[in-house]
Amino acid sequence: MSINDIIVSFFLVVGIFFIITGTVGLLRLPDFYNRIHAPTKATTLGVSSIILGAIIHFYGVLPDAGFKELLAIVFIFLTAPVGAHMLAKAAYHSKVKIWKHTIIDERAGKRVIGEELLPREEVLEQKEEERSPD
Amino acid sequence: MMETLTFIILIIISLSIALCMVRVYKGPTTPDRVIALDTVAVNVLAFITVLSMHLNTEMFFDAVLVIAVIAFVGTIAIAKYLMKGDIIE
Repeated sequence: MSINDIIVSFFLVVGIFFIITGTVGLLRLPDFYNRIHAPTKATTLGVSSIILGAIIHFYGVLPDAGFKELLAIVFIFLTAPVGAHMLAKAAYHSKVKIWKHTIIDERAGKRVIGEELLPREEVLEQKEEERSPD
Repeated sequence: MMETLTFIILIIISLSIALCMVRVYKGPTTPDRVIALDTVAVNVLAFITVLSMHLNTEMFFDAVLVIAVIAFVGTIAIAKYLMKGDIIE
């Protein structure tokens, strides 16, 4: 087992760890706005790590390896946040329910305590108090 | 040695895709299902990459790029549909 194989194995194991973390987060987090975090961050990092391992594995073995894989990494890093942003916006516009323990809904300017929504002015006052504790 | 490792990783990615399909089945709202299917696409990217390492060929990387593009366009289209009920204005 050469040093090349050890580095490739490291990247593969790190990648599969992040992919499993993202999937379990998708399965177990409580509402949509929490759930969208897990796959779009962790899974993207995991796939990039796996593709990096593939680049190292194929470097020098096959001719002109590397460019397409790097292009794939750049593309995934560019498109995953855009897709997640569009989906979160669409979900907010179609009024997907917020988790009941959510602290603040900044787009509406309202603070969620239990089921009730406090108006915007009280939220701003409370945030000012939190920023200046003395 | 590398063949064994890549084979185990292929099995783990398959399990991960199965867990994503659980969320597609359960998901209370449509955006949940869409983000779960997007995660399935990203898992398929990882699967194809590891499969190309397992078979020791480089041909599948074109498929990686194409599936990435199609998954992105599909996600954006469904998000636009959910927001306005109309994809092409």
